[in-house]
This record gives sequence, C-alpha cells and structure tokens, in this order.
Amino acid sequence: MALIIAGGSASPQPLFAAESYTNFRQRASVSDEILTSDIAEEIRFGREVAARIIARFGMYDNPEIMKYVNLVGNVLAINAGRPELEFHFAVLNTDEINGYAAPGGYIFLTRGAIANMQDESELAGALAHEIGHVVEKHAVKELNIKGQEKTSVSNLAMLIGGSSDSARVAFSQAVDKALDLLFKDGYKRADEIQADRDAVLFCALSGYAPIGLSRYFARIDKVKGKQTEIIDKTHPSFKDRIAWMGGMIKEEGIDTGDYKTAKDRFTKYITLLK
Amino acid sequence: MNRILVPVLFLIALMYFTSPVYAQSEYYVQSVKAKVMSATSFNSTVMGEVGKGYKFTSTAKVGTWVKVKYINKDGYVSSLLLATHPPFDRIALIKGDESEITQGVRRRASSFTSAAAARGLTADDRRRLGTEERADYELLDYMESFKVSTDELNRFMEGRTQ
Repeated sequence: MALIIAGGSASPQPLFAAESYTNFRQRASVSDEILTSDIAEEIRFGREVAARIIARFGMYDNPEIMKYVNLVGNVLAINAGRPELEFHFAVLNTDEINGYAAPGGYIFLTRGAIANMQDESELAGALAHEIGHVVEKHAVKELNIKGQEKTSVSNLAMLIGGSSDSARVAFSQAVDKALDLLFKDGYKRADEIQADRDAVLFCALSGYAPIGLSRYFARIDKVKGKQTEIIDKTHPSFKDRIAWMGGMIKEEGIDTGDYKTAKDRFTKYITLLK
Repeated sequence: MNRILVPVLFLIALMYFTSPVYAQSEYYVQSVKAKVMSATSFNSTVMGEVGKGYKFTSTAKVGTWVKVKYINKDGYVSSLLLATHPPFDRIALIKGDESEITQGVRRRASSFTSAAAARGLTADDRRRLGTEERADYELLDYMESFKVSTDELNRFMEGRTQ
C-alpha cells in the first residue's frame, strides 16, 4: 500500500500556556499531502471507532435534533478543508459533558454538552473543535503505528487489509488505543490547542460568532463532578484555552464583524432535547 | 584551535545572514470558497473570493496565512483552506466489511490471545482481545443516514438572522 502523509499541520511539540498565539502561528503549516487510498482506510478505521463510541453511550434518538446538528455541522464542514470526507454528526445519550471525534469524519457531542449551550454559535464551536481533530488527523498521528518506513495511515491500511491474525490483532489494538485516547489519555496539549484554533477559524469562516466556544467553555468550567470527569481529565484547563482563544481572535481580526449566534433557532431545538 | 573555530564561525555566519528560501508553490482551495485578503487578518480588505479547486501560486508563508498572487497583486489566504494538491472527490466506502473485521477478531479470539501474549501485550490488552468491546453498527448506519443537500444547507445558512 502506498504512502503518504507529508509534513504536519503543526509541530508536535507541547504548547505551553505561556506561548503566545503569534509563536504558535509561526509553527503552523498547510494541510497534509495524502493519497486517496489512505483516506478510504482512515474512514474505515474511523467507522470502527465510531461504532464503539455509540455502543458505549447510545444515541439520542430524536430525528429533528439529529438533522439540526447535521446541518450546523455541515455548515462548518464545507469550510474545513477536507472535501474528500463526508462528515457525520450525532448526539450521544449521556449526561456527561463532552465531544468526541473519530477519524474519517464521525463527530459526536453528548446530550449533556448541548444542554449546557445557549446558542448555535456555541454548538458550532464545539462541533468545530471536533472537526478540527479530524482535519488535523490527531488520532491517526497519535497512534503512530510503527512498521517499516510507512506512515500512520498507510499502516492502518496495511492492518485493515491484512488477512493475518497478527494484522487483525494490531487493528483491534489500534482501535482500543484510539478509544483510550478519547476516554482516558487525551490528546496532546498542542493538539487540543490546535483544534481550538481550527474551531474558532471554522466558525468565523462559516459566519458563526468565533467567541461561542469560549462562552461555552466558561460555562462548563463551573460544572464539577461526574459530568465533566472525562473532559477535565483529558483536556487542558478551560481557563488557559479561553485566554489563548481570546488572543487569537484578536490577532486574526475576527473580534468584530457580522457573525451570527442564531440564538432563537437554537432555543427552538434545545427545548426538544430537555 | 583556529582550524576548528573558523569553520564554526563561518557556519554560524552563514546561518545568520542567509534567510530561508521559500520555493514558489502551488496551492489549491479545499473549502467551498475562500476569501483573498489584503493582509494577514480577517478584518483586512477582501480582494476577492474564489471557489473550490482554484489554484494559487504562492510566494511565501506568513504564520497561518499563505501569500498568493491574485489578479497580479499580493494577497493572503488562510492556510486552513488550502492544500498542495487539488481537492479530492468525496470518498465513499463500500460497506459490509466492518463486521467481517469484528467477526474475524471474535472467531479467532483464542489465537489472538496467544499472539497477543507472544507480542508482550499488557493484561489489559489481552482482556480486551478476549472480551471484545461492543460496537453498534446499526446506530452507526442510522447516523450515516442523515444527509444534507446543498439547497438545504443554503436555506439553513440564510436562516441565521441573529
């Protein structure tokens, strides 16, 4: 199976709170080079991870909410720079406050997360953060499956296509590791910050108020206990992220402009959720 | 001493006085549209808007922006919207093989456990291989069944009045 992923969208070095947004910008680069065969394998792998996420929580079965979340998600996805992926969005049936992304474009928010939002720009911000993880291929890169000189995605292709027992064991392990990343270990701090950056920019590019994600973070930062157990364990502090996004919004020139919150429409749908 | 010092100083001077060379490159718009800005800020003047697949020649990279030539002028496009390859068509999977993967793992659980032990997996890894975490493909299909047409999306975007 041919390779390639060349160059990363950001340095894997840890990003410390003290680092300014300007420095971070210097380390960012343009989207990866990829082959279509790798994309198909990324989607196949992501489906397996997504199926297990759904099995763990169950899905919030309300077609109107599902459609609404898919509409908001797709507004963002058309500006996300991965036209080869069809993004799918769903609400997980749990009080836990969190969001999850599986490679290939499978995006989840929990019922508890949406219940803590106040307008559509906050919903867009949270969805865009998860889209950011997919666009930047954080899970695929983090898994870093070793084998010859091939890259992560190509190795996934090898595992999925492999008919041997060891290939299947390795595939199963890779899925387990992806789940550990989501539920236990968390992404690297730099990856979370990069997903925040992408989220803010995707929102702005899609016409949503870029500040939405910060407002949502400020609200859930006050929620303590079981609802935020996983997100607190797997993510950097909300205070750091809010401060960093604030600097970035100013620097990118998106602190003013005709950006929408679509509060009324969101309120109409959120009543269905409660 | 000088035999070591001179080449080292020469290298340092070379690194200091030479600026990195940015090879002229081609970038393609990946998003449905992309604005070309007059500076590296979203609140700078919009020079124009181009569609998916539009090819730019770039002369530099400035932070998260790519400096491009646009109608014989210099402009800037957010690097999030660009890639060095033309946009791919949407890729769809032929479904039905995910259960084969899972069933394959389940069917050969004992041999996997042996293989896992041989590969030095942790007890946790071995437990997982034996028990298999559940996967819900039915609900995954349901999730994938929600489609959004371009018309729907345009109407939805226009409906944002606030």
